[in-house]
Amino acid sequence: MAEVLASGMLDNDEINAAISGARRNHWIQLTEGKMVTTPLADVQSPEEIFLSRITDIGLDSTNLSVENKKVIENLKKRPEYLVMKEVKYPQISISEIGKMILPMIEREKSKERKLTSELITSGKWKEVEFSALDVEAPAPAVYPGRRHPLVDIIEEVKEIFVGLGFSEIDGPVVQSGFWNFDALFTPQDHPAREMQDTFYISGQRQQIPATSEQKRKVAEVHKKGWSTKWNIKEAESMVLRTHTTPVTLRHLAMIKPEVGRYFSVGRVFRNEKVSYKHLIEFHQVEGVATAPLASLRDLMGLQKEFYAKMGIKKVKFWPTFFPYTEPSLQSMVYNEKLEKWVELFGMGIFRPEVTEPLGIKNRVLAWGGGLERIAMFRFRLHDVRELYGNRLAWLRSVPRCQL
Amino acid sequence: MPVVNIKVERLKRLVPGVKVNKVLNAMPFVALDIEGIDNNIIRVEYNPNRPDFSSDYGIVRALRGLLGIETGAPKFKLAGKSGLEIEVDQAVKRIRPYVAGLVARNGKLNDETIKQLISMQEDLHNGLGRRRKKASIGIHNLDGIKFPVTYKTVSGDYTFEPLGESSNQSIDRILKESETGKQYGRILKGLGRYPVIVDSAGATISFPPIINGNVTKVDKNCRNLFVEVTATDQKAAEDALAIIAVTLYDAGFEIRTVTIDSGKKVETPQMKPKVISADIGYVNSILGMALDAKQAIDYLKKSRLDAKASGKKIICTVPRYRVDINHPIDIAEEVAIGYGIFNLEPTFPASPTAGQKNLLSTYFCAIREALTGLGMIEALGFSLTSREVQYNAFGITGKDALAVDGSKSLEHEILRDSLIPALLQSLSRNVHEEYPQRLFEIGKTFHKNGALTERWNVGGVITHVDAGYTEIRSVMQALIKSCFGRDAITKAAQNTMFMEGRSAEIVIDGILMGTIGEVTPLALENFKLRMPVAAFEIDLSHIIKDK
Repeated sequence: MAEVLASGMLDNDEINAAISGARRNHWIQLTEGKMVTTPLADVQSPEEIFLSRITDIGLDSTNLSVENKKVIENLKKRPEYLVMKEVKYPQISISEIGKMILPMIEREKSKERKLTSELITSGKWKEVEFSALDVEAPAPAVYPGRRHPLVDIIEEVKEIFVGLGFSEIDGPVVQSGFWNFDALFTPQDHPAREMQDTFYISGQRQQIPATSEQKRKVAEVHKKGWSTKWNIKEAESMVLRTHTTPVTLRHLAMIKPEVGRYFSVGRVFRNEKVSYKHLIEFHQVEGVATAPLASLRDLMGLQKEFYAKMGIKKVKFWPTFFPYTEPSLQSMVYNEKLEKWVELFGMGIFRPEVTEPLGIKNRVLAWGGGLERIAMFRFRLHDVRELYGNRLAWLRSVPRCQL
Repeated sequence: MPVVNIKVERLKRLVPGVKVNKVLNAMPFVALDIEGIDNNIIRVEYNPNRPDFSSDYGIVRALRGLLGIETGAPKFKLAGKSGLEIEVDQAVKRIRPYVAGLVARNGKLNDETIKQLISMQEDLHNGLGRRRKKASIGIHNLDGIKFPVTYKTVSGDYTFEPLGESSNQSIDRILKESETGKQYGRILKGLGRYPVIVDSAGATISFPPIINGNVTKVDKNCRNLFVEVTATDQKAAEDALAIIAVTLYDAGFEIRTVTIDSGKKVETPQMKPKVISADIGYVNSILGMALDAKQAIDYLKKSRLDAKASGKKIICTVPRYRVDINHPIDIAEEVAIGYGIFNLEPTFPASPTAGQKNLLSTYFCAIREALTGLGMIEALGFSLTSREVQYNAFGITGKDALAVDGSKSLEHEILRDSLIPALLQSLSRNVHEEYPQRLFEIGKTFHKNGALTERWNVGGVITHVDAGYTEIRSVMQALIKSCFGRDAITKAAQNTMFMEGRSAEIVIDGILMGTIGEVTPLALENFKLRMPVAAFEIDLSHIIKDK
């Protein structure tokens, strides 16, 4: 002990702790002012015995004697001396229910899970039993390919038109000012022709795609009707069409049918600020019907028939104004879901100023409007932009059939 | 669309003997739209073809007719000449050539009437006046104006006290600093001289189309008014003046003409009605009715028009303020309105033709079927897009792109020449949805090769953790085979949208028709996508030849 104390390996705190510990265990005693070891010092203490039992892999402390438990408590008092680790050993054992169905499982083990090609062709399927499946559990979600819901409506509208005897026509989205405005009796200083409402293609002009006779006659009608100088440069500008009417009008001017029914569905453009109810680009449908004695009441009838085929029964008509039709009517339909009247298609008879210069002799009934509105009602959307967001959460969930 | 505010009490007073609800229900049948009612003020929207609806007097005039309270042409009489003159200096000819005016005497103004007159003036400025460029109106206190007045031009340093100011200002300053100067000054830009109306005592009563002089300010104590209209279009000036004349007459004023002396002397307003004849057969044919002349005349009266029969013709006298009636077809419409659109029963003629969809529709349906059969979902994108999405995201500039003027947002500046960028944009909105994701679009693309051409394209994208060329090639070749019975060939070629070594041109029948490949990670990063994307796009114009 004297050597240990003199070696300098222990510092003063440790020396004091060692001495008091040794005295407590009666390994040393103070005799005549000197510290001497006792015979007990040579006997192995319970701690020492215990420590010799701890191997590299540790000692399981769960089933120890009371005495050894005391030893551990003592050793734990020493800082950073013993490390206690909790080790979990999971144990699995069969429960009561398990014991009950054990015989069933034993029987299942002998059943086949898969009907393999081998079993079929070898005939062995006759000799085996097949296990049952949990047919009540749901399966992983898969999503069918799908037409866009707005296209569902567009196709439905096309079918209705075809059913009413209308043939489809299509035309360019980029139109000359001539066909988009001038031929439709819209004066050249009309506010709708300004850049704030209409998209002009930058730096593009074109020779008006019309015969010189058509150009001359339209110019005349403008001078007479609007008393403003007609500027051919305005007519040569190129715009993104603001309605599909230039397409139907050009078709009629080209074919000049005695009787005919035509329709067109396509995109139109308005230079607006995009909002929850306005888009700058949307789908418009337009129908024209021409016959020698086509009348306003016929036009109302066509509307009613069209709406009836869309499932709309309550329709009313109000007078309104469009630059190229006279008389003009607005239709209001009753929306059962919203329980209110909403404005839908506009209609009218093409003005003589529109048809005469193009040599269209018979009366032309025309009507049309935007389709996004119908889509918003049907799909209960509150923001028209959702129709073009292409969010799969919506596309994957819209039912194909609205019952 | 312009809106007029009508107080419910005024409506009750001006359309007496009819319940307010009945009046409101009648409004749509003269093409008026009730926007809403707040605090007993009805906001009524009207169409720009009826500038006479720009005040509640005009609206009430029409309603009284339809409701049978007062039919036929509205009472209006010019009380004669006022003897007052506007002398026109030739210098205005190249600046703002036309002027017309009237005098309105012995009327009573109150706050509400003044409101209606101001609102009417604004609407006429914006509509008929094409934002004051075509015509503009000045309403002045007649008393205190020393006649004759002169309509002439002055230079930019000319000064006067404009309405609402307390000191003289120069024309230049008014144009630069005042609200109306800033808004409408461009009408006078570059002309060097400015039109003014000045009285014999040298007081400036008007600087059209910008502002009146303070000296003739109107308030509710005014009993006599002087109205002048200056214009670049004579008809617009006369139309506006006619509407103001009948409105002030209805407001209780006595209307007298003013002499315009520009060399020769002319009286304005010219209130002579127009006479338009329509054949009763024509009217019946347009409407689908079988009315006799007497009935048609009754209905025209309800539309506030006078008419008499002469054999098969209806000769209709159209008051000057009805600027919307010019042609027999307009007479037919007025008969329908007077009859009551609510009374018109629809007729159902049989269709003379069988209908059909066009070739394009048929082909598109087939393409949709094939692609949805391959598990793809249809997307719809916009024709107008941004350079950012269409080009920059792939590391290229779009300086040759077809652009539109004056777009209100950068997101809609150019016409797209390919569908794939918008499809990628759609994928970027779906990064939190389950994969695999498969989208396609059939849409128009726009190109500038000399002339501007439009082509129908079909494009598709497939994305998931293992998406790649093989899969999209399978889809594309299946589409072409099942729809058109052709074999698609892919020839290695570089494309800025795709990874190098993983992109090809699609060739069908020896014609280059499209592009296919794995999208470059630069674009995936820019679109904030986290999975590989394989894409194809085919120009259908070679396959689908529409007549």
